[in-house]
Amino acid sequence: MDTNTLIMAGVVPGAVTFVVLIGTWLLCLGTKEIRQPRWAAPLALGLAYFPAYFATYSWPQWWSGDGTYRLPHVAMLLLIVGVFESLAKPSHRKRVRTLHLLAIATLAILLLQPLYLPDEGLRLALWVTGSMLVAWILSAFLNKQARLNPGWRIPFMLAVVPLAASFVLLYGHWASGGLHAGGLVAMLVAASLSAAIITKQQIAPGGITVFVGLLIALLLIGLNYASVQPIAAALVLVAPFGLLAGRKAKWHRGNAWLPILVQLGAIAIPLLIAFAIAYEHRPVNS
Amino acid sequence: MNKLIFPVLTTSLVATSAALFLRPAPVEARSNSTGSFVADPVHSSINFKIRHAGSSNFYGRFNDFQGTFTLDQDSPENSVFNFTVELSSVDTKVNDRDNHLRSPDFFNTKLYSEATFSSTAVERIEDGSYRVTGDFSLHGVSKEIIAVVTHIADGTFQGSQRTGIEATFELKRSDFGITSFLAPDGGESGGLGNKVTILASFEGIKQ
Repeated sequence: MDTNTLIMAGVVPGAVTFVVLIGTWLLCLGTKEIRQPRWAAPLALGLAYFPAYFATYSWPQWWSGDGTYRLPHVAMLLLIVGVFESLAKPSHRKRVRTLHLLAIATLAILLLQPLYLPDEGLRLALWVTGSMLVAWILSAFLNKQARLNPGWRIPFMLAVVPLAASFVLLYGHWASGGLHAGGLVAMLVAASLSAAIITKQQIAPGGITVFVGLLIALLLIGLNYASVQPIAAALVLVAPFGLLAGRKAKWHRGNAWLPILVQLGAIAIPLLIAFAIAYEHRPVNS
Repeated sequence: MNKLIFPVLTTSLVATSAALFLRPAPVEARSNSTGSFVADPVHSSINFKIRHAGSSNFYGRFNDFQGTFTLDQDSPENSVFNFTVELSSVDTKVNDRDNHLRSPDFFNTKLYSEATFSSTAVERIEDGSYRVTGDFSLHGVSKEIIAVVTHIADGTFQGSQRTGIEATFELKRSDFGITSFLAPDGGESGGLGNKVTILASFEGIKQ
């Protein structure tokens, strides 16, 4: 893997995320509300994915027959839906959730249609339904966690999830997907760094939509086009629920870092198992 | 005169015998190798060559393929070549590498299971050697390529007439959307080179 590829896939997405988040905040400094616009997070994460994609693929055709070349279309869809979600009023939450699920269904169809239509429509339907279910549960959970904990904690702790996904994809014979997941790591790390400056930075709900959607998209391709181990992929998606760990324990009081470490540990356990499963099936020599 | 008869007769006899026994074999190759043939997969092979790490040439092969050709050495423009290769049959001696080649990083065989070649024009370069132009499809992309096809020889095997041909052509994998581990300049210095050479050898069973 040459240096240019590593920089494009790893560093540039982080840089784009940081610049957009900080830049939008600076633009609003002169306004009445000195806070970052809510559409900043989905915009930043959505845009930042493109350098990771172009690190491994050339400029995509307007419409490719290969589902793996439709990831830019998926990223654009998630960006738009994420921005809509961030701007929606609380009273429109139901409609927004419907829009979100429709976006996930569209995402799954975009990626898997070349493989399964017209002969295996039922299989496609199962993948679409499964993706919607996973996205609904995971996004709802992470949105709540991010609202309860604005700032750097959530993106920082979530960054280990795409890190593990990167190895799961790489060992599943999709090196490009591994790089894309590495880009997601850089994006979340950058979001946590910017939140150190913008203390009330909020990545929910739109930013969570983009992150969850991209993670599901990469795993869908890895499971269907490459040789990603299904259990490893499932563990990657389950890992974020480690944020539930140790929240109510009383002995946390007085030490702000302990809850973070406990949550990180709870997230890391399924990820380590996922890594071990993927490692067991890694390419020995290619 | 009588003294000369014996040497003359002997010389004639020897010369005639030599002419009879040392005469060149009848030229039957041209007529036997004209006709329609089906490639015998057991006695045919398709190999590929690609630059690895900018330093060495790496060879691999495809184990499953089928093809037919019509060879007319008298009027080569009437010749036709059609082949289909099962990409998932790629074989580089290492199972994990083969799986990687089948993945979306390279052939993406779950989506694109075959590579095909169909000739559109054939012209003679020299006796027994032809320039074959045709459409080559790989990874969802179809491009015109030019192969050099050489007729090897004719024979018989297990009661059927056989003819052998070898074909060589080059392509750039980036032209077919396979760009993993390619050098930034699209050359040969990356993890894997851009230029791929296909070396195919077919034994055709005459139909």
